Amino acid sequence: MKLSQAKTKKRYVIETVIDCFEKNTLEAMGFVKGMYVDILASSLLNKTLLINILNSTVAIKKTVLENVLVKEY
Amino acid sequence: MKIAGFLSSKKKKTKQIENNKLQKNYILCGNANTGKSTVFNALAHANAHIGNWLGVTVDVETKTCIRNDAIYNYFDLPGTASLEATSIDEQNAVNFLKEHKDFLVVNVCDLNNLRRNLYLTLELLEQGFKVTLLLNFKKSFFKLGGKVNLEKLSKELGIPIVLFNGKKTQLIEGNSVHMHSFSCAHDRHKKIDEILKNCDYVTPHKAYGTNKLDKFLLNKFFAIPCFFLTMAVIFFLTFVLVSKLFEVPLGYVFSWLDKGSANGFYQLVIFESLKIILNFLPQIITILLCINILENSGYISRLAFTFEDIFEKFGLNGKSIFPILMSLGCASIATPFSKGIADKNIRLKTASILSLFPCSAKLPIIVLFLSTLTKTYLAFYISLIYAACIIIALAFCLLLNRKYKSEPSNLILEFPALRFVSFKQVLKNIFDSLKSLISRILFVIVVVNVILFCLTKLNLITFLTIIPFALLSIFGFNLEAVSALVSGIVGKELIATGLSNVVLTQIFTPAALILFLIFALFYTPCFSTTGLLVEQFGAKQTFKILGFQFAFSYVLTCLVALILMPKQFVSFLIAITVVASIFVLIKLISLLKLNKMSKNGTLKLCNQNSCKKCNHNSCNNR
Repeated sequence: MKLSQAKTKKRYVIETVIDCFEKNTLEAMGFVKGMYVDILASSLLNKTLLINILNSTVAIKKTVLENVLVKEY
Repeated sequence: MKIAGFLSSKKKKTKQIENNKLQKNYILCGNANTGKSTVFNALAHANAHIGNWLGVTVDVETKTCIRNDAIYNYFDLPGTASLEATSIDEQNAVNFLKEHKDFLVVNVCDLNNLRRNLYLTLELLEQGFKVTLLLNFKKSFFKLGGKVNLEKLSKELGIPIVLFNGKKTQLIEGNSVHMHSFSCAHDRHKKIDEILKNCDYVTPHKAYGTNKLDKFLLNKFFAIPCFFLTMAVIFFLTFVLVSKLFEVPLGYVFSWLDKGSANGFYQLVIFESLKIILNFLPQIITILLCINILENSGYISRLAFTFEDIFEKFGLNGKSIFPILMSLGCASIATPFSKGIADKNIRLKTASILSLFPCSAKLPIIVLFLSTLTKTYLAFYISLIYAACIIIALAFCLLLNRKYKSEPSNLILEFPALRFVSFKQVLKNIFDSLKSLISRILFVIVVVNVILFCLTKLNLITFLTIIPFALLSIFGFNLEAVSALVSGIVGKELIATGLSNVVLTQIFTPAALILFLIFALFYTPCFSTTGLLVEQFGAKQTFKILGFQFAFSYVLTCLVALILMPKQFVSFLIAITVVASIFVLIKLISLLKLNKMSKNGTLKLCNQNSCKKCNHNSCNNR
């Protein structure tokens, strides 16, 4: 499933980062296969999500998350 | 080129002083918000600006230190997550690294985020850089239960490691192992995991940035009211509390200044200008203090997230909030911060609207004019003007959107941990801002007064103001007011100081006072901001924007004038309508001509998208 569809307060493992404009930034931030992602709050303000990744909190838009595929862990 | 120039000029200078000394060059690089500028300040005894948000450093900062054994050149780069840059500031960092491969790279890493920070380290080692790893935030790391074996880490990476220890930190140089290239990011992360496992790395048990306060600050319902509450507190402190506190002491200073300012016209101008600056100094300091607290606490990054969706509707993005908030202090200080925005059009729009926000130099104009109009609820009216300026700036942005369209931005933003503000750092930042602001104001006052003196002697002052006067006299501005506006192009503080020795009610009607205030707040940015815009976007683009801004402020003033003094303004409006109708008529005739030519077959109109003539893309006739 896409990371943008993930539900809040659950842990996911990244399956793929699909090639996109932000791929390099996403990969440098740790969005690579096998990484764990915590969705902190998907119901916040807008179409932006808060993700806890590699021990720091990252705000990232749903549009970008369409390029990250995850499965529930 | 800039850095090459700096190096050559520094080389010349240092050659004269220390002819036989060794040159040592250190590049400080690393992920954003890892404390590179703090390390730079400590190592080079520099004064680089420090804040708790991503993108504080946007250009390469340089500093040279001459010590007993050698000459040390330090370079502080903007933060970047990898060698693949997406924004201008990241590009600056990557380009600098690639151009100076022989310099020693001090890779500053956050111990709490080592797993992610080592990604850049591996990339640097793959490229063959000589690297020293400097680990920062050791206090919070060990306090929160983090563990790491530094000797093993150094062995695994094949590079020297230093723990940042304030000013006592000594950099260790050693040979770096040239690491083989990884085929993809996944392999690089796999290697990082292996390294961290071998050096017994334990991440701090308390996750970074997941502060309980965030649940409130980023809440769907509380985030925006929380921001407005913060702004209300700032305005209350600045315009009510501080104004009342300093009323009596400033009165004494002014009476003392009045005794000394009786001789000569130009002495009087300088003293009156000083009085204006002094009068608003407490408010300027309070605003700078509040912005610095917001900046250093980490709240400003949360605001970028909060405003992302709202700003997107106006063609901006969440990151625009950084320069916008800074512009409440000074637009010229804020302009370079727009470099952190990746999209060129969003960057241009953000930088263009910064001069529409009321900076500290505009504060004297607002207070001076409002206090002439009303004596009660002054703080409320000032806050109202601030709110109006924000709305007008966003409206201007909507107009710019028609020309500079941008795709919806893809926000990827890291939140720095919320932390208690270091008052030492805040005071240092305020001192630096005040020093540059006051020295600029004094310089501008002296230079402009000398120029004014020369122009008056040569009878050129009327010649210079004749066109602006023809344009602005319809609003009821006299020559003195227009001269103040002309000098205000250099620096906005000159508008208030230029009118300091006149009684405003004698030269303005109440309606003209309001119109002057509106026009003065928006008509052009100051010289230093214009220079920074030219540097970033080129002269052509900048002057296009400036022309548009001037027209926008003029039309805005006209609209208000129509409401405030309809009788006097109707004749002017008729004249404007006649001129506009002539232009429309000429345009219509040319269009009809074109149409006729196309029917005859003399002109081939393009059916493709983008031609300069018909606004279509990829036209073969261009």
